[in-house]
Amino acid sequence: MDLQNEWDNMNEEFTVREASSGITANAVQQESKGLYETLRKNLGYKLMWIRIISVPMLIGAFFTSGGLQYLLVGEFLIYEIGRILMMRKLKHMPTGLDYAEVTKSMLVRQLELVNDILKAERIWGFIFIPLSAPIGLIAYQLFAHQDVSALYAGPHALLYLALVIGFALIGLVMAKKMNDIAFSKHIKKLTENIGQMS
Amino acid sequence: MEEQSFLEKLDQHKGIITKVIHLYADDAEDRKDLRQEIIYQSWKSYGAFRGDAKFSTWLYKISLNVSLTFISKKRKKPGWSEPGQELFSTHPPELSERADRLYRAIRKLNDIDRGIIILHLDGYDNEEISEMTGISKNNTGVKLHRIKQQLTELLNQRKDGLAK
Repeated sequence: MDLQNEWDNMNEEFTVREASSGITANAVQQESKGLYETLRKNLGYKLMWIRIISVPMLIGAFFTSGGLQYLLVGEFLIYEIGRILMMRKLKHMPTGLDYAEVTKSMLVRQLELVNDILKAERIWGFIFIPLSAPIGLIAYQLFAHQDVSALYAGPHALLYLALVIGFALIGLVMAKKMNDIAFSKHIKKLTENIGQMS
Repeated sequence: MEEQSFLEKLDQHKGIITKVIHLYADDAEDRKDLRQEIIYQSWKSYGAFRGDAKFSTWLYKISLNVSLTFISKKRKKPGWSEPGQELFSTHPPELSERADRLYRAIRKLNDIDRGIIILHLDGYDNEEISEMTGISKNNTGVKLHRIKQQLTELLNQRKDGLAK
């Protein structure tokens, strides 16, 4: 019996049997790794932007006084608390993955974290995006006139109200669009990949 | 960049891992775990791979070492029992009768002999086998002769058994 011949034949069978499942699993793993890292990176940018928005408020507070100062400090704290809560979750997500770490359970765990962070951000956004225009107007009135009564009692009260509502709607739509671009398609693809992994 | 180069090389030589895991792991679940462990250990050691040896030789060495550690750990677990004469109550890969005959014969060899014959049949000479397994070159030659005899006997036994 020719051992070499038998060995070659057996290897050929192993290779054929493994070809489809093995290659697919690797491709799915590799793609999922990329998707995860993109999501992780985009979340990092999101939190960085929250800080970029909040820090000028704190700086502004140093140069003002009275009601406006309290308002700016309050806004800064609200942004920071939201950021810290999201950052705490983000810290549980490793920035990079070893090739061999890309397992189904690991990806499921990380995807849950991504969804948790985005859910918290959505709730936070629904409350604070509509509030940002009124707060901006109050800040302007306090800065320019040291009095906010013109907002509700002045001749332009209805215009202010329309502006506030319009800004809130535009803000909510834009926030959703930005999240869709940065996260939705990656989350959808990663969920599909997880479904395919054994 | 390093990761990309590792993955490309791994993809070119994935047949080595496939062969080794099939000949050392008992069932599909173990094969999956062992494959994962070999890839993980290879990736961990890849930084130290300087290209003095061929990637295939390096990967074979890691695959065999990881497999030996894997089965030794598995045997220490409570409830593990040596497969019986009829070989595996577990789940061998689905192979044709011809390939299955060789598969079962090789699986009857002891762990080290299994590694030696795999390397020999994959074209490594005695010196390379000796380097990879840590057995002296002369001893490798002697062992190889004995393993081949044993394997041929096993194959013939099984052939006779099937004929009856």
